[in-house]
Amino acid sequence: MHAEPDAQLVRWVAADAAERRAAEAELCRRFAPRIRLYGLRHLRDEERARDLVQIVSCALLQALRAGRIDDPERVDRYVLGTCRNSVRRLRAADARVRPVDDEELEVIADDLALAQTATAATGEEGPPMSALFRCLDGLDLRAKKIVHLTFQVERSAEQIAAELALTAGNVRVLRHRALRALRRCLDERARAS
Amino acid sequence: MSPPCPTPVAWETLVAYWAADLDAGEQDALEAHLMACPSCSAESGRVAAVTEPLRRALPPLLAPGQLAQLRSKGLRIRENPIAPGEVSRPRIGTDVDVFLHRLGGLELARAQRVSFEMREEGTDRVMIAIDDAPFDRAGNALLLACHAHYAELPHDVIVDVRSHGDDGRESRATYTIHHVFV
Repeated sequence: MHAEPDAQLVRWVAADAAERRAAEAELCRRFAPRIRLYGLRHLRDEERARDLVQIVSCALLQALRAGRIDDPERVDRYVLGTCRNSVRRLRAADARVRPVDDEELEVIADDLALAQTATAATGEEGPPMSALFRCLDGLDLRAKKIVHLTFQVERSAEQIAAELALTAGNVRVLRHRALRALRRCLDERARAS
Repeated sequence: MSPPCPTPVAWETLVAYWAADLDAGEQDALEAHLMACPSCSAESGRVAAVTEPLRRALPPLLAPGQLAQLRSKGLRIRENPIAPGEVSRPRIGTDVDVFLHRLGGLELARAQRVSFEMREEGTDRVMIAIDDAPFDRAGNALLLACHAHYAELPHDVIVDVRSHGDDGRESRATYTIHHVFV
């Protein structure tokens, strides 16, 4: 099942084939980490990103079974479109939205179980904060400032450039180098431990 | 292990994505690729695993409004008032979420800008420098947030604060902190 292309899994589900259940689970498993990252990027909140995994996974399962995925080769487009619509709705609600209400829960209890399994499978826990701060401290001062201003103060490259007397292009280069150095440092510490 | 991507997304593009620094068209195209490509999505996750914890982390200096927000969330906050010239030896454990050094004794009522620098004692290596630091004008203090995650950083630090008044005058205060993480 792991080696089958997405399109084959979509066809098995749509045809209610013997492999349907396993195919559904595999599709959820494959897309869950990507949906979570989309949610994290747009909602900036881990819990809401995990809610999004459940919402989109449930919608995907229902669409698959109803044969509403027009092009099985591009199931990813359906998932992305559902992510975009769901994020818009979550934002419009301007409050933490429950993944499903009680009535829906009865109807799609199985789907929810699958979606929750998919959510658990995203399993990206990020580095220990102490390691992250240690690695950050190892950067040179200018790189530290750029990282701080970008991700903690939410300044644009142009604003940072004006503050540090650099060009925006310089800021972008220094920023991605700093992130690469942080990533390497964290990987080395993880290997060492 | 994801199959390799024939057109992998560059690291700098992924960093720009997580820094919200792509235009709408670039972002849409990238997201379409990431949703279709497990390999590039995994690499994007490696960037996010650095940027998003940083985004959630407390900044080293808090504005009074941020401190009020933390209190309203029920975080356990312990304050440690320090006067200029003082050597403070706080014990910081996991029984508090934020250990707040209140760097006091400043005249900030007419301050236009405050700069902050923290150095490692002994080496004088500059660890943090903030040219336009948030400050508590009413309380005449800077609010330096410390927590157990800093335990791996140098424990003994010297902090310099310079305030620049609207009359052009500059005043300076120095604080020494020897952290004891328990």
